[in-house]
Amino acid sequence: MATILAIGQLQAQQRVISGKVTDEKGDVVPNASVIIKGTTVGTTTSADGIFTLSVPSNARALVVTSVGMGTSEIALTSATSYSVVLSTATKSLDEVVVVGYGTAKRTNVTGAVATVKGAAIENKPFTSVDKALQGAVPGLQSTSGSGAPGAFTDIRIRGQGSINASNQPLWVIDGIIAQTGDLTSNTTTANVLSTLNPDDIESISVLKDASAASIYGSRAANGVILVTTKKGRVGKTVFNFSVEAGQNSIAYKNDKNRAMTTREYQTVLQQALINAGYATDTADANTIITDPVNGFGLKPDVNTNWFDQVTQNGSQQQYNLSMTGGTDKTQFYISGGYFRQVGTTIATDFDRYNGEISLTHKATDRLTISAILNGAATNQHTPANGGAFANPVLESYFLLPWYSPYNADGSLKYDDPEFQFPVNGGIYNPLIQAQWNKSTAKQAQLRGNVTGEYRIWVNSVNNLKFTTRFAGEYINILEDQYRNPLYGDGYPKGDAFSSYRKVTNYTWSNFADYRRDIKSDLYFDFKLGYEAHLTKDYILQAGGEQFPQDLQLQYLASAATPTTAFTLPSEATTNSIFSTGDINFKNRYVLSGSYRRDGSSVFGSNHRWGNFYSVGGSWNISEEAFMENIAFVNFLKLRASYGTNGNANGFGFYSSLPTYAYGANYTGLPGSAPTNVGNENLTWEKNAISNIGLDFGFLKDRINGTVEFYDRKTSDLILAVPLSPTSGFTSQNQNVGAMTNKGIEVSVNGTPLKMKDFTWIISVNFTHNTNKVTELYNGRPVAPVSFQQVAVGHDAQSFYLRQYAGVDQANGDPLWYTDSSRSKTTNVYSSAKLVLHGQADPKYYGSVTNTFSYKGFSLAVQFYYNFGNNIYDIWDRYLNSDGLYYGAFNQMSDQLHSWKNPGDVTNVPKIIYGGNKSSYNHSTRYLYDGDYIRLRDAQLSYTLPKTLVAKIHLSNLMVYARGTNLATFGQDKRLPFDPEAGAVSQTNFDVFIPRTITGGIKLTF
Amino acid sequence: MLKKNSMQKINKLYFITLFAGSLLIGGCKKSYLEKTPFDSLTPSQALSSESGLTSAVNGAYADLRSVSLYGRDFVIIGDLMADNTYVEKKNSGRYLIQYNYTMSSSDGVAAEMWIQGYNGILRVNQVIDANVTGSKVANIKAEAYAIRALLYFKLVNIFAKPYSDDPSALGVPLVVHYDPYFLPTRAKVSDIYQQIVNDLKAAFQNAPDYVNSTRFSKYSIEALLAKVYLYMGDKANAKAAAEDVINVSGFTLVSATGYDDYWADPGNRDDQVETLFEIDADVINNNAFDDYAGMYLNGYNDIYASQQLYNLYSATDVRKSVMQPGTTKSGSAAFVVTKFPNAGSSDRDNIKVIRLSEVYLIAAEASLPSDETKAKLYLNALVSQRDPAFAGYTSTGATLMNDIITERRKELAFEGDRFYDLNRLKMQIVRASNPGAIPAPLTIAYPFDKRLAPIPLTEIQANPNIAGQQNPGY
Repeated sequence: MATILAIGQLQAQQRVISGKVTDEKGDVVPNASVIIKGTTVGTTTSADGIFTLSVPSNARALVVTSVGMGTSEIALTSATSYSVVLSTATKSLDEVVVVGYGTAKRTNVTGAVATVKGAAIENKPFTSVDKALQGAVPGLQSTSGSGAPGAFTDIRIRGQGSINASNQPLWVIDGIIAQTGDLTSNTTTANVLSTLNPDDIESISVLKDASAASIYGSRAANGVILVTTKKGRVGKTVFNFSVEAGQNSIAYKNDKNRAMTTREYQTVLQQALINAGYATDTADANTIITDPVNGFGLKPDVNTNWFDQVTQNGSQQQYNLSMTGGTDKTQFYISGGYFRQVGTTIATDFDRYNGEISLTHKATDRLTISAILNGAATNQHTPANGGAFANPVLESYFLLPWYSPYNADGSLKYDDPEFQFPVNGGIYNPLIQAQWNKSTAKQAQLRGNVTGEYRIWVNSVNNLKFTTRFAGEYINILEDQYRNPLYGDGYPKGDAFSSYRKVTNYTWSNFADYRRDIKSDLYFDFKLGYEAHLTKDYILQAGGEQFPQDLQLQYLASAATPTTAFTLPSEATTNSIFSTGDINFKNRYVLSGSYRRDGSSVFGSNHRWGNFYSVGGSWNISEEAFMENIAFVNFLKLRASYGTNGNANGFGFYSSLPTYAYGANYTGLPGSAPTNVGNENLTWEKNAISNIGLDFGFLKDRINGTVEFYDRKTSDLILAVPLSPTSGFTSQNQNVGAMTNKGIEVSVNGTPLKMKDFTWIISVNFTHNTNKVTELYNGRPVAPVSFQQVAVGHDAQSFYLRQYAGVDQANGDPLWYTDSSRSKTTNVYSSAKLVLHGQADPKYYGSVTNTFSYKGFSLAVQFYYNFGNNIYDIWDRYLNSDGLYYGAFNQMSDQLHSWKNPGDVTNVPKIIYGGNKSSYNHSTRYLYDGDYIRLRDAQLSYTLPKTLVAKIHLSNLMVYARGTNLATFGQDKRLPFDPEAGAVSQTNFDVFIPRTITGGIKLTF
Repeated sequence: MLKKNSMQKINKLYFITLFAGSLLIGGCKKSYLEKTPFDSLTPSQALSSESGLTSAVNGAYADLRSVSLYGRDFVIIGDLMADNTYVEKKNSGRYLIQYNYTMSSSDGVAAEMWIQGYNGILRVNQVIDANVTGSKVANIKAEAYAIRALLYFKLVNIFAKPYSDDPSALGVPLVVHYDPYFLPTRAKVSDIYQQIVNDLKAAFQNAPDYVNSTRFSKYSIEALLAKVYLYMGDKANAKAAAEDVINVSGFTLVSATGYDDYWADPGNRDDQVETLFEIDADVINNNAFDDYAGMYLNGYNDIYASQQLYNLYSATDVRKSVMQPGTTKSGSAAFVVTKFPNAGSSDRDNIKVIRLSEVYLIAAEASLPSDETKAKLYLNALVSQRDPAFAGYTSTGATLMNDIITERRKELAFEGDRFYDLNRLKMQIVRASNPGAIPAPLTIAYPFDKRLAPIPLTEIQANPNIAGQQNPGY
């Protein structure tokens, strides 16, 4: 009797409540977490923002949270229906932020963490997510000199910190310490991140200072980028479909400085011949110029625009479909997509197929298991770059304008009797290159993790949970290259080369999180973990030559003579213990610290293990009593941190070991030779960084933002210290150099206009960084990059060139300065001194974004700006040769402005056939200002009214038009190439960066 | 209530132990972090067995084939800086400053000869110092000693004054053990030669049997020793060694009829004809576009034989066939060097280091001034195999010496010897003016600073002890 009553009473003590969660604008918040305070019992909101939950009668409150939004605590009353409002203010104290190994409330974050929401980077027409980060985060510079689809991108966070090791940040994708970079052997440029579909990304956290990043220890010196992919949500299954299509054309062209036409070429050739004394007047010169046998064979009536022959408008399309849904216990996210970009140069394109499955399952009250599997296959065709005669961009500038790519009968021209395209030894006909030769790179990638999270102990003051995560990554790159035997680089035998590379990566992390509420306004969080990481790499290469003349036989099976056979594995491991802790008092004062101990197989046996720590604190000034009177300040938080981390990437897996390698073979027998001095003391490069940040919000966050000051000192930089060559070796890698990066980062958002139907938001990012080298081995400068030098007291990326002083007005001679004081000039090139002048890294960069919304319309315009650097054009001297290469290569139209009469003021010396006093040689003549402003992104979208779309059973429908890289302003007027030139800031005849104009539709149902 | 708490406690304990346990699993072993490369060994592993030492000495032979050593630089410079060859106007930019004597201390060719030479010395030092037992170890080490002697012999003649000029002059640094941090000074020329002689004697003692022309064996070592003694001016020892090779080794001179085939053949020899030691270049291991032969024919075709040299040969001299009248790439009349015709073939020309013909010439020169009859005997024995129509030399005194030196020039043309002969004999170099040659000095006196290569800037910057020991004129 009593028992039945008890059960009945038990049942009566549970009740069902429901509610709806919205943001302050009234939009629903799907997938928000609703938990009974002090327990693990809860649910998540559906796509409509609605939740239903069975709560015991003694439940006092609900805690409602959502990533990227504020936290709300709702007291439970006798009501059964609740309305919860979560704030979307970006700097809300309770906003949840993804940090290393978990999440944290914004209050407790003492470090510099910048968040980029998935919505900001999805559906962009970039082949990889790192390109989409340009201008998104202050302190993060994203730049790529190549517009080739699938190209590699340089990312620098807080400047360049290393000379010989890697400068790229650490990417952690869903807990996997991911392999990034260009893993190909024979492809001009490629990017492993191009296998990640930005549409699958939920959010990106950029960890910039020690407090945020040192938890990653020996690999965090260049910053850490955490990528979290989308997860499932409770409720009815929601489908998202988007399609975008459009066209790519060249983003930047300078009509004032471009390849010449035949008529222009004839003019300069006449002048050059006369000036050199080979002709007496124009008519005399013309005889030589047009003579097909003994002269230049110029045909005045033929003018080929090689630029047009080699460039094209490329198509651009992407399709993405995802479904997300789930119940209380199980949520899923499944997606698939296709992306294709055809490049601005012929025979250049990129395809990607990808898919993701993500499952989260709450097995019991305490145990949650999730699994993610993300896979992609990419296929890329990329032409050569740089000085290769097979490079179509080079060909478009170098080929003489009276040459034509076709014979009179319309067939492709080669081996012609006029020697325009001899079988071997001239610049190649780009159309034949594109059609008859092949260079493909295919990447296949699988990335995933299985995570188990167990809440060991949860009550009102304690919260202990344990997480184990096994993450893995498998990447497979297959390259095939074929060069035909009839014409070009493959003549006369024809050859092929293939490379297969497999990279596998495993990360196993185990950590416990413990939160203890000591008092109602005092609590601490503590994390302790262990991690093991293994990377395995395997490469297989094969090559052969002697191909038949049937050009469709392009694989090594048809090659008569094998020439290459090579296989080699390699591997590296890391073992770590890590821990973080923070104490929060009154949500006003937070003190935090982190510690990590890393051991790596890559370091010398004497210095394998390292300790990295950070300490940080923050003061929430706006919570103080004295701030209550200052009404316009609703949020003000001061943060400071200091800590250490390291750089362990980019110097090979085995460079600390002395080695003997085979391959020095003799008479067909194996021969060995010492190949590396080794260094038992070789260790990671060190980074010590201090950071002060101020987060603010005025007028109820109508204006909000962050200002950060940082001072980053890197030391123990790996340099090749010279040894006496009599030892048999010329250098040994040692940790000896040091440099600093100091700067300021500002991010401000404002809403100047906020009316009933119309909103105008401005977002501004600003970064200013100053880099200085402080220590080198014996103070001796090093030059790992041509035309630059790393010297003590200067920016690590300073250009090191002879200083061009223009043209002597009296006689047209080229002039250079004899030294850095620029007081004297000389017309003898070898007397000009090499001087450090200009730098490759920008002094200031950032973005300004204006967003206008009116009813369903939205117009977002982003400008990216970059000031303070220079760009060096390494090939310019062949194209502005002042007579040296006349008749061999086409020239730039700038040559038309050469010195002609005494008193002429120009930058181009007198043109003399055969050259003019080495005027074409490397100097600041070809060093341009790198300043520019780019209209990076403009998007006009219209979201149809919900009532309207509901009629066609959709819950959301948006149409938009977008343009990327639409216009460029403020750049050096003489600059012939795109001002975005990569971290090294040198142009290298890469595929042109595209301007993309697309239209798209996004719908949800 | 109580039950719930204790359940929680048990759960807690269970998982705390599990967690602690997981910390210990999964690779806390020290060996987890010790990874070794898959294509290399540690030096101690590589040099711990007989087969390892064999591979290491093979690697030393392979080093001799480097483009900066016998692969091209040694062979080309030895004729180009003398009076045998010249660079034509239309060229690929190689060796111009050597030909016109405008080298500076930053000269890349000199630096590479130094760096690669000492790299080879490191390879043999490691073999010599290796602590391995086995029946063949002494033979292997003998080859290493011989290679070390050869390398020091070349280096001291390139970077230092000839022994015949001043044995106490500064030579090259003497390094016989591996020490990456050692900063040596230049040893005396006489010390280097002493080391060379000791090394050759040690090599001779345990020399391996002759197998083929591409490895050192007893008599190739002795022939080299004869040459070294000649350079030292020790005629008695030079003659004794040379005569031993001529009389006892079993090697024979290539005949006049076999001469053309001999040079056309890129393969190795095992018939003890002519070649005492040559460096192998084959189908797989060769210098591709940087083959020395390509400087003359079937490659860059930049270098041609001086007409002065061509005119030395009589019409019936078979050696004249290695120069063919033709034109340079820019159209000037020239004599194309065809001695090494295999630059475009699969199998490449080997590089002759020492041939029996030279031993005859050494024996002839070493017999002077005491035994002119013997000198003429050896000289004519060689010449009769080169110019059957020639009756033989009958000269005496200084004329005979001159004839021997001229025969050295004719026999060893294009093999990289002439320049060092003229240096050790302290003779001026007198070049002809060849049509189509780049501008260059036609008379180079002795002494002249630039007849010595500069100590490379790389060495001087890395090694403060040698900084004050640069050759004069740089």
